[in-house]
Formats: sequence, structure tokens, C-alpha cells
Amino acid sequence: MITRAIEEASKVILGKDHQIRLAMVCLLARGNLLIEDLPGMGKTTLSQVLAQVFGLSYKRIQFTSDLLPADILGVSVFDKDSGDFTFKAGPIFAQLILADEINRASPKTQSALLEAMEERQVTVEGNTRSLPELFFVIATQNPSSQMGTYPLPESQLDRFLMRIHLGYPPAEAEKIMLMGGQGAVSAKDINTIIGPSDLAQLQSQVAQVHLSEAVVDYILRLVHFTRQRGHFLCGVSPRGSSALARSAQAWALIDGRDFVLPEDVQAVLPAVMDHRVQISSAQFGRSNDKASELLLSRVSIAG
Amino acid sequence: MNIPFLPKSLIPGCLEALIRKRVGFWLEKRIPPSDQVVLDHRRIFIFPTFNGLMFLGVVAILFLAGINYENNLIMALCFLLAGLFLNGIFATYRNLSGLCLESAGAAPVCTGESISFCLKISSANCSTGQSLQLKIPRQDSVMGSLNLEGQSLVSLPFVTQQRGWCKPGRFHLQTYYPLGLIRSWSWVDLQLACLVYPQPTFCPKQNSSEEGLGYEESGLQEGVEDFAELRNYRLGDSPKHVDWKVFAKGRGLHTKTYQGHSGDSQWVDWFSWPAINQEKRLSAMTYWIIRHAKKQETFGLRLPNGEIPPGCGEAHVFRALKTVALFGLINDE
Amino acid sequence: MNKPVIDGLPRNIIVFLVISHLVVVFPHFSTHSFWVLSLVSLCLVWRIGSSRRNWPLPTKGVRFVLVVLGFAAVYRAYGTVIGPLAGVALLILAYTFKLLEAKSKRDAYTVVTLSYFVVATAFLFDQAFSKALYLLFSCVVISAALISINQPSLQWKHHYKNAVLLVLKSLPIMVILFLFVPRVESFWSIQFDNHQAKVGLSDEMSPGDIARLGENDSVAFRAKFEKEPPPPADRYWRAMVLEDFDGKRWRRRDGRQSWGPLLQSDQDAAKEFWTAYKTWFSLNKTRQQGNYYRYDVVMEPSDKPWLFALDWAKPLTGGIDMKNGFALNAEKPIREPFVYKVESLDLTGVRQAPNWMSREFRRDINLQLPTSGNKRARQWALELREKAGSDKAFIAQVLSHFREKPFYYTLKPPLLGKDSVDQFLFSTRRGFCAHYASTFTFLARSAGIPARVVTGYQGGEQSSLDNYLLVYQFDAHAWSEVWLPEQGWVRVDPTAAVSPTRIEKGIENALGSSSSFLAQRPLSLLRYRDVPALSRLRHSMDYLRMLWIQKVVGYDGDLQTDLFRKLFGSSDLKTVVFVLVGSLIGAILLIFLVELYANRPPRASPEQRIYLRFCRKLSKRGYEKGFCEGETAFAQRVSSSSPELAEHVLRITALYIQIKYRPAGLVKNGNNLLVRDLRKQVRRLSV
Repeated sequence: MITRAIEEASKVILGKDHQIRLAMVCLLARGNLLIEDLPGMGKTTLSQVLAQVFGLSYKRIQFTSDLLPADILGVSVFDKDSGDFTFKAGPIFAQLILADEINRASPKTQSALLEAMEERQVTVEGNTRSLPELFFVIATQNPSSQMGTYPLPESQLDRFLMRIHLGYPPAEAEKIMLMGGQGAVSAKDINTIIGPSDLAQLQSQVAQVHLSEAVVDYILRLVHFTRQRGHFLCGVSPRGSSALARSAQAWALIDGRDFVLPEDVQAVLPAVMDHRVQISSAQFGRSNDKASELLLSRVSIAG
Repeated sequence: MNIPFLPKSLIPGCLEALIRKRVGFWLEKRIPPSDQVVLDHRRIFIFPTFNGLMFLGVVAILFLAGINYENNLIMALCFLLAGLFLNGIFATYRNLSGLCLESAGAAPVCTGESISFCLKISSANCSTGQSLQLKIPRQDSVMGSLNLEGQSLVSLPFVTQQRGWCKPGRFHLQTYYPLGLIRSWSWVDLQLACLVYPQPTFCPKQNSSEEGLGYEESGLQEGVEDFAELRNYRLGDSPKHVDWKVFAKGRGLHTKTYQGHSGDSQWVDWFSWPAINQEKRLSAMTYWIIRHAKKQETFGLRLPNGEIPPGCGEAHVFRALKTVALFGLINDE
Repeated sequence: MNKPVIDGLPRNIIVFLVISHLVVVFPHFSTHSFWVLSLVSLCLVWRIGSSRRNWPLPTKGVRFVLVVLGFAAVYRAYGTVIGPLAGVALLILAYTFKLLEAKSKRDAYTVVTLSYFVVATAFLFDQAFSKALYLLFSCVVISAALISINQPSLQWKHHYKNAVLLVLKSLPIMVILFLFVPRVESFWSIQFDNHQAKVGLSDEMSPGDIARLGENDSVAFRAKFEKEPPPPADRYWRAMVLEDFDGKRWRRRDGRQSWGPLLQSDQDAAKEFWTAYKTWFSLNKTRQQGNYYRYDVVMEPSDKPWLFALDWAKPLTGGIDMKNGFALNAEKPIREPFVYKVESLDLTGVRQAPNWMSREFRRDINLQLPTSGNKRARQWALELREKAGSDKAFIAQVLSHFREKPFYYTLKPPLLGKDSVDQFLFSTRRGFCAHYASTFTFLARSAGIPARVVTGYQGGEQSSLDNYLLVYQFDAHAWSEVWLPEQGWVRVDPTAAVSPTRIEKGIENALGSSSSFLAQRPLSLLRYRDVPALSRLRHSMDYLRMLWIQKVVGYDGDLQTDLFRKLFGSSDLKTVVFVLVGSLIGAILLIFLVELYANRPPRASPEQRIYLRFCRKLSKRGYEKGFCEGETAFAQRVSSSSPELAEHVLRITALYIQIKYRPAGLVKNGNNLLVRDLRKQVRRLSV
């Protein structure tokens, strides 16, 4: 079923199997996704496709510097007919939210979204309203070096299960896209493969995937490595380690296994870790060193 | 490379130099430089300390006393101490043996600051590696011990004096643990290297823009994207930056200014300081590069032997600083 | 005026040093005077205070005052500042002062060095087994202090654990060195006077003296027989002969040698005597006249030179002489446990008076009596001798008199006045062996029969552990010897007439109820001889002590030579050096191996070992599994570049993954099957 969903999604986004898988892992692991890339790389399309494949209600919020929290959460409006204030729900009351260019908004607005993301409920004017059971946020952001951005602080980055980069498509895929032939499908044309109820069931299956002691030890070694002085500015939080474990479980599930392999951990590691820890030697340069590369090349799998 | 493990006063200068050279070659062969060194019997040297010799003296005196007083238990004590000494040799050797030393990088610094070379020391046997003393010749020593998981990170300090690549060469690792009677040591070359930038000194750019000078008071600590000040509206200011709230209160048009929003690319130019010598110029250039970097400004670098086009981002800054740091030096990378 | 002294030693090093100081000085507590000890305590309190509460350390002036005080305290206690006890006291004070002023690591090392000397001096006075155990303990504590100097940050538990391990590992080396390092003769022999009062027989006897030993349950000596020990009634251990009587006390005649009466320095006479004695001895031995015994005596220090042996003894250990009526004597007072070898020939009833015996006999000495006193007894003896007709008959009648009249054997006899023999013989009639021996000898001399008193021990408890007898202080005994012209000296024990049980079964049975025996020592294990388990415990404890004295404290060049002969067939220098070096190397190797074994990496599970074998096979093909590489990734790498291996490698990897990462317990014993399958597959894999 999941394989079919992936096939379906990759009809639209060509040559990006790995990223699609990661995005789905994120959904299955009940996490939120941060996509970071240059404009026009298909960030928005990816989220649309996901919504379509899983049949989720989809809202898009374009973040700008003057966006206010109320624009996201909703406001109470005076209704002339009834003579009463009625709540006009904001775009956040949907199952899948695309927070586009999240780092363009002011920190205040960002945190409003992120709080909703974490609590899965919204408090507006004293009333607490809960969000739908299935609730995902896909945030996109431009690289921090771009002008006029408010980069997300580390504390908020930690709330995203994963951060992925899409990167340039392979030449063949781009060729198909440009030719616009039978290979190219638009996001609206694809079918819903997994319904919301199936998705909820899959999510509960993720927790059932067996994590053997060997794998848990490997995760602990990875995490411990980041906490040592020297390589990193600061270590991974326990939230980070559980995120790693959950993502690995979801990855194994997508692979059709009921147990986790170290390779599953390695597969999700860059997406889960890179935005959580920063290499300390990158303070003054050498920013191209990624945490995950260091981890993958230094931490041994077997005890 | 310097190997100061010979007492200075004993040997005349030229002979000392010769010996050091020979020992250097010999060490080079015996413990070749490498990223990762595992200490084994070929790489560990061992000798009693002064206290160890004193201890042997105690053993000898007790032996004589035992014979003299025909006292077998004093003899036994003497033999027990001899056994302790022998075991001490083993224990001290074992404390170093099997240790794996790796370089864990070092952050570049400016001249005059102290580099901390991070070393990762690990061992499969977690009871070893206690009370290690590490020292780069003529620098301060540091102590370290492996934790219960058999790992430790130690940062070796090195006070820099010159810009360019800092390669301290061999460093000294020794231990007296457990009894302090035996010293075992090794000279390890992990090919430590760290880039040292010139010392940043402020020196105003002579043909730079007014704006550059205007920033001066705000110093370098100001963060990126910070709201800086309100100033009177000038024609051409973006309406986006106008403080409409203030305007609504009837206090006139003001513009919010942010730091780091200057879109113009700046040049850090060798030729901006015609009056000062090379090192001072490089220092000044370093200062400006770091300042632009902190403010996330786009800048370019111009040197007599070439230029780096304007850019921003960490990689760009690093490249610029590296170029400045290595300018005029024989690049042996 | 003086700069304040800065304490540069970390606090926990000081804690370790203070603890080791307490442990090291503790055995000396009982021996040293109040003043020395209070000075030591003052310094310790100061040291602790300076590390805990930042009290200032002593300045130069204060230190000088302390040193002067130290000398004064020692002088006050011992009247001198030289000599063993004073020397040890000064050493302890020096050690304490050094601890007080220690402010650098180098000082700490000096303190430790001094502590080893203090530990060693404890053995000058006592070499007991318990001391040796305490030595080990002290070494552990001192080593922990040494470790703490080098690693002040770790927890104290680690230090003690490491110290215990180090000392344990040093023990084999110690044993080897102890056994095999050649023993050199001492250059000048110094014996320490340990000034500890020892119990034992004294060289004079008045009625009631030996009764005091009757309360003492410590071991006097042990005798280890090569064959069967003599029956209880024949266990008379001669220590000395008392010949002078002043009406109240029996005394030894000083300077009297067995080989010639009152001839002190006649070398020829001595030689002659010994030749005669030895000839007689070997002659009777080969003729198998009487009972022959050969045994080792392991003696506790008595502070007196006399030794103990059965009649008639010939010493086999050098340095033992015969004095005072064929009693053995050492050259010096026995201040350390002493082991000697003796052979004895017991000729009771079968011999003729040998000529060596008559050489020593002096009628005038053995008939000597005070000029006055005890008139009734003298009269009574003379009359009885008249009546009896012969010496032998007289003796028999006196003994039957003791037996038939109401004489009692008791540890608490009534006090006797001026005419003690009269009083005892005719009125009190209650006494201990000394009373009976003294009275009998007096009667014999009065009747004109030469007689003398012999003291020593009688009896001995057979140890349940080995073929040896334990002789306690309460076995002390006195008996008489009379000179019969045709037989020579004949032993007569009047106590045997009064209380045959004393001789046959020992004092505890002779005294009847156990309440009076060792009444003042309710905790003594000897009171519970009837309980077999306790007896065994007591015997084992003593056996250990005997072994300790014989084999460890008494280990010397002779024993070493024996050991070499027994183990290696030769004891020349070449063998010694060879054995010493060889066994040392062996011990070090052994320690090394044990350490390797103890620190071996945890044993891999069977499937891991099989997988490792698989990896080794593949590495022959040039495929090395990176330590950061997962099993599946490795398998895919291998199979994509060597497709011919792909099927096999992938199957093995799938199996291994299933064992390692799949939830266990789905199938019972399923893993075992899988492991077996995996092993088979890996074996079949050929590269």
C-alpha cells in the first residue's frame, strides 16, 4: 500500500524517491516536516502531492513578514445577523498545513504556529479548540543566507521531526518535466491511495515495529557522540533521540519490515539530525561538514 | 620540530641539536605521524621516576634490615614492595597501552589566541587511560582521564604567535598512574593542524563608504537582523520600513533601520591602507572580513595576487579568511 | 615574620595519607608512651584541621618547637633517644611531622616512604601471623594513598579496589622472592629486647609458684614427633634442675654444667663429656634399649634460655648446650619463636648408671639442707629410713604415705608459714606439684638419699591435626630425682602418688570439676575441650601458628637448601639463580595472562562469531566491512560487485539479520535453528 503511494507520488515529483519516502516517514511517525531549499524546487508541490495521496484536507499559509498569529489561528468576527461573535477558523484547522516560507514571518507568528504544532490545540480568546486528529505541518524555508529572513531558532527547529532538502532534480527527470509529455502529471491528477483512516492505522503500526537492543545501542552511541565535547556545539536532546528511533521504525515499516535495521537509522539520520546539531568546527568556516556525515563515518554499528 | 626531552644543561648546544635531530628521525620512524595513533609496546617508553628510585632504595634498605635482624617478615615486606614495583611497571604500561588517539579538530583562531586542539582518546579497555598528562612542547599541559566508557576528549592548548598553518608537531603524553613510581610516555604526532588568522585590528578603510564608518560605534557584537534605530524618513526609503504606528500617533514619518540589510557589496581591499606594512594590513583586512561576516554583509576580497568576488555565507567568509591568513606564506597544504 | 605556609596538597590526598598514617601507627599504640602518642595525635588533628578548616600549617619556628618536644617526649619515656624503642618512637614522630608539613606531591611521596619503614619496625617486636596479615592491609592502604596522589579525582572506592588488586598481584612475586632469594648470613646480629613480660618457668621454685602457671592457658611449646609420641604418663619435659634449698625456695646452682660439676671453662672436660654421652646415646639407640623419639620443638618466646626435652635428650640443632642436670639451654634468652630438633632416649627401668651421669653427680650438693627448721619432718624421715631398710623401700613408703593419708591435689593450697615442710606434711596436706616435689626431696635428703627437684612440663595434648603435642603453660610441673648408686638418677613423682589422674590425663581432669580449672578465663577455648568442634578449631589455629613459626618466621638458609634439594635436586648457585629468574618470569607472565583474561572483550554470541567468520572469509576476497557499515549495506556492496557471490551472501545476511534484529521469542528455539542454518551456510561459502 505504501509502496503504491510512493509510486503515485513520484509520478509528480520525478527522481526524488528518497525525499518522498522521508516525507512519508515523517507523516507515519506523526512528526512535522521542514523542507529547506531554494525557491522553485518543488517544495509546495511535494506537500500538495502528499495531501492528495493520503486524502487529507489541505491548507496553505504563505508566511510574510506582516503575517499575524490571528491570520493563522482565526479570529472572532461580529456577526451582524445573530448579533454575536462567531469564530472564524483560520487555515490551521486542516489536516495538512503547508507553512510556506516560514522564516519570512516574524518570530511571534512563527511561534504561534509551532505551539499549535506541538500542543495539537489552539487557544484563541480564552477558548481552547483542538485540531484534527491527523494534523501535519509541512513548513518550507529558504536557506538562511537569503535576505529578509528570520531564521528559526534551534529550540523551534527541534520541534520538526525532520528537515529535508530537495535539491536539483536529475537531468532525465527535468527533461521529462520540460517536455511535458505523458510522463508529467500535475499534483491534482493523482489518486488518493491511503485514506485518513488507513493512515491512522499505519501510524499505530509504526510503534509496533521491533527495535532490537543492538539498534537501540547504536542510536544511543550516535546520540552520545553528539553530546561529547569537541565535535558539536551542543548535543542532541532526548526528543532528538526518540525522533531518530521513531523515524527509523517508520522507515522500516515503509520498507515492509517489522523490525529495524541499523541501515534504517542511517537512512533517516541526515534528515533527523542535521538540523538539531551543529558541528563546532563550522563556527568560522567549513560549513559544508554535516553532522550526519561525521556520525555516519565515526560511530560504529556493532558494540 | 622540537623534542625537548633532554635536559638542557647537560649537553652543549650543537651536540644537543644533533642529538635532537637524530632522536627526531628515530621517532619519525618509530611513531610515524598519522591521524590516528594506537599506542603499543613500540610506541610507549617507560622508566622509573625519582620517587620510583627512592622506592627501590626503601626496598634495598628493608632487605639489608631483614638480613641483619634475621627477620623474615621484614624480608617479606621488602619482597612485597618489590612485587608492587614490578606490578607498577605493568600497570603504568597498561595504562597507556591500547589507547587510541585521534584528532578531533580544532577551531581556527586569530594570532595571539590559544588554539584548543581537540583530541579524542579512547580505549577498548575502560580501566586504562587514567591521569594522562598531555603537553605540546613549551605549552601548558592538560590532564585527562578516560571515563567509564573508555573515552575522553581532551583539548590541548597552544598559544599562537604567527598566522598561517599552525602545526605543533609531536606532543607528549605521559602518565604516572597508578603508583607514581614509574613514568611511561610517548611522543605522538597526530598531524595536528589549525589555521591561524591574522590578529584583527581596527584600522579605518580610507576609501570606504561613509556607511562603513557610521557603523563603528555599534561594534561587532550586534546580532544579525536586529532592529537598530528609528531615523527620520528620507526620500527613497522603502514604505515597508516606515514605522506606521509612530506615524499614526502623529509624530511624523520615521524609518525603521535594520542592521545587516545593506545590500551593497563591500570590498575588503589590500589597497585601502597604503601607509602600513603587510602584517598590519592583513590584520586590518581580517578585522573587516569578520565584521562583514558578523553583519551578514556581502563583501569581496582583493589582494595583490588576486581577488575573491563578492559573496556571503560561511564558506565564503572562511575562504576569505584563509586567503588572508596564508597570504605571502609558502602554502604547503 | 614567617610567611604563611600554603597547603598545596588536594584535600582528598590528605585524607588518604591520614588514613594510612592511622593504620600504620596503630600497631605501635600499645608500645609507646602517652607523651609520644599525644604529640602524634596533636599533629594529626592539626593536619586534618588545616585541610578541612584551613588552619595555618606550622611555620618554621613551630616545627622546630615540635621537633624539640618530640625528642623530649621520647627521652622522658625511654630515658634515651637511641636504642630500638626510642628509635622507633622517633621514626613515628618524624613520619607524623612530615605528614603535618607535607605541602607538595613530593612531600607526600616522602611520607609514604617513611610509612613503609614504620610498617617494617612493627615486626622487630612481634612476627605473629596476625601482624603479617596486618602488614598486607597496611600495604593496601599505603598503595591506595600512592594511587590517590596520582589520580586525586577518582572515588575512594576505586583507589582501594586498585590497591587491593595491585597487592594481590604482588603476592606471588613476594612468595617467589621469599622462597628463592638466597639467604645471606647477617653481618652483625642484633636482637631486640622487646620488653614484653613473658610467662613461663622461673629458675627458682617456692611452694605455690607453679600453681600460678596453672591458670595460664597459653601454649608453652609444641613437639612434633616423627613417629608415635610417648604415652601420657611418660611425657616429662625437663627444663631445669633445682638443687639449692634454703628452707623456703629451691634454686638452680648457677654455672653448673652437666659435663663437669662446677667446671665452667674446661674445654677438655666438655669434649670428653659430649663424646661419652654421644657414644652412650648411639650405642643404646642401636641396641634399641628403651624408647627412642625424634621430634621438633616449636617454642614460644619465654625470655629465658632454657629449653624443653624428654629424658635423655641429645640436641640436633646447633647452639644448644647442656646445663644443670642434663637440661638443654640456649645460648641466649628465647625472645622470638624458636624451633629446635631433639632426639631422646627414655631408659626408665632398663638402664644401668651410665658413666656420664656419675660425672655430674655431687653427693654434697644433693644432700645439702638448711641447718635448721622442719625438725619434725627430718625426724620422721630418719625414722622411716631406719624402718624401711633400703633407699628404694624408703621411697616406696613415702609415696604410699602420700597416697594413703588424706593428701589433696589443688591449685589453691593454704599458705604455709616458717616450717613449711612440717606444716604441709602434718597439718595442711593440700598442695600442688611444687609442694609434693619439694617435700619429697626434703624428706629424701633428710634420710640421706641424694635428691633434687626437677621442673618442666608434664603432659601435652595430642593435636587432632597432625602428629604433635601441644604443651600449655598450665602443664608446668615439678618432680623429684633421687640418686640410687646402681641406677643413677631416678625420677620419682610424688604428685603421681597423690593424683594419678594429673599424670595420666592432665591437670583439667585432676582438678575434678571444670569450674576451678581456668576459672579466671571463662572465654578460653580450652575450657571447652569436650566440644570436638571447638577443639578442632583451637588445634587448627595452633597448627597454623606452628607452621607459621616453623616455615615462615623460621625459614632460613638450611630450610632453603632443603627446599632446593627437594624441588630441583640441587642447591648450587646456578640452580638458585636459574630458579629465581625463571619463576619470576613465570609469575609475571601469569599475572599478565590473568590480566588479559580479566580484561578480555565480552564474549560474542554464537551468531556474532559465525558472522565474524563470514566477514573474514569475505575479507580474503578484498571486502572489508567498515565498522560504520550495516550488514545489509555490506551485503549489497559485495553482491553488486561480485554477482557470483550475491545469492549466498544475501542469504547469510538475511539469516543473520533475522537473528540479530528480529523480535526474539516468536518461535521457541527458533533462533537455535537459525543459528545452525547460518553456520551451515557460512561453512559452505567459498570465495
